[in-house]
Amino acid sequence: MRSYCARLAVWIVIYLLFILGPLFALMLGSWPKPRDFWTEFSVALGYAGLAMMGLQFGLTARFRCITKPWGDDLIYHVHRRLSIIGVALVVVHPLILFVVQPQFLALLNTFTAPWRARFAALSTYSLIAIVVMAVWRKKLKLSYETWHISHMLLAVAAVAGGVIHMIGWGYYLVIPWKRALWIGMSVFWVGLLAYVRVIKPLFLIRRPYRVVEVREERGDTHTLVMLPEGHPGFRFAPGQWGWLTVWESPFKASGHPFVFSSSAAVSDGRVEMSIRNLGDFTSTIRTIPAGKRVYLDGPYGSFTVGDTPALHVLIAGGVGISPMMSIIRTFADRGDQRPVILVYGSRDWESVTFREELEILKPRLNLTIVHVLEDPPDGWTGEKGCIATVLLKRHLPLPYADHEYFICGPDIMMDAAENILDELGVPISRYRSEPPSFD
Amino acid sequence: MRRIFANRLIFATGIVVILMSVLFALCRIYKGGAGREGPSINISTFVST
Repeated sequence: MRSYCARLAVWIVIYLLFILGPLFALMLGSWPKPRDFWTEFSVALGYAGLAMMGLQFGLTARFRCITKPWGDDLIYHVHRRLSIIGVALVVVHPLILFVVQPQFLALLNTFTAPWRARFAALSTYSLIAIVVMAVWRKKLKLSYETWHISHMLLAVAAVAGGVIHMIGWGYYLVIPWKRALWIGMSVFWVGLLAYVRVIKPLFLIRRPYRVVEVREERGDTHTLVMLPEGHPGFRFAPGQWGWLTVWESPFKASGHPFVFSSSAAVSDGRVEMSIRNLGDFTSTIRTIPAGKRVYLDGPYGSFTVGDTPALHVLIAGGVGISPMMSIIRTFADRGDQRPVILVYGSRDWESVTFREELEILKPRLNLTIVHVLEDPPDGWTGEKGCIATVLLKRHLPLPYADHEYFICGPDIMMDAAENILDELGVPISRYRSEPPSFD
Repeated sequence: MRRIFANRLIFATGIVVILMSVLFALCRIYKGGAGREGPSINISTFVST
């Protein structure tokens, strides 16, 4: 736990250096004429806000060195929350100026405002649009693809507009090296997006996969079975995930992130993804024909088992069983006899995905399965309702803090499970939690 | 819990950024020269004040 906190502190300091370093660099060398406190404060917020927004490109650039220590779920959560703070800082910047210097209100008139103000407006409106579309995507009925493309274009417009506004205003950036610093940073941020969207797909195009089977599972779930075509594929750890692009080109902007459900111990590069129909793209999985070419970018994620002999407690809800199946299948293939308890929440008995296969695998493993049904059939003697503290206490041996926990399922279930583990005194460093998809 | 913990850290990070922006503004108005181009300045001088 102490090393976890120390590592966290180091990362926060690095993050703050990236945000505040370029801001305080403006104070090096000669300074322009000083202004009143509120103007300088608002300008500092603008610079810091733009730096925060720029760094978002780094958080989502799929660098394993960033995602591996924390897990992708947490990184995307931080991305969403930090974006809101960054946008708030950028929005507050002009609001302060409008209050202390009301003559700036005239800049809101796009027809008469100078270019530098128009770019500021472009940047601010783009940022507001990003937040609105991200927070209320489902209420706005935006498809994942539309949202994803808009998200990227608006992000580039926000950063580019912000930097052009800064350069147009001059002031601190009149000095060439300071101007070069901020332009360079902006180019780097947008370059990260280009790396993910252009350079990485260039590598992927040479490593396609072919769908060999689309298997129907219980619980309105379909499993895509894919084999590498003309290459050996990649090795992944059970619990990891990848970006799936079902199209003729990996350049398509909207890859979809799904967890691998297959064993990591196969030798032919086979990869399976079990995807529940939740509408949108997931509803099209059943229509994908065998033989279809797809592209996989991966593996990613830190939702993986290590070498510890500790009891592995897998807490799954619904299609959150996918990474757990990968872990269980891999243990079975490797003859791994480490103790595993699977606590598996489902709506009803008929929708328990992989129900039969779990029973087949059970004798080959040191595996205990605890089914929890929301709507159990008549005569059901097992657990019912939701995964709760008393339920885990009934099935887990003491001491709870010595086990390794893996949680995957809907957000509400993962939050509840994490709170239960907190109640049981399990430290954060002892559990990993990730959703089955990051859509 | 991880997310709740992360939320607290994110909130703290936002506060630090705002406080440092205040520090930036204070440095500017108190040490930024009386309405003229200032000389080359060592940043540590102002952070410590």
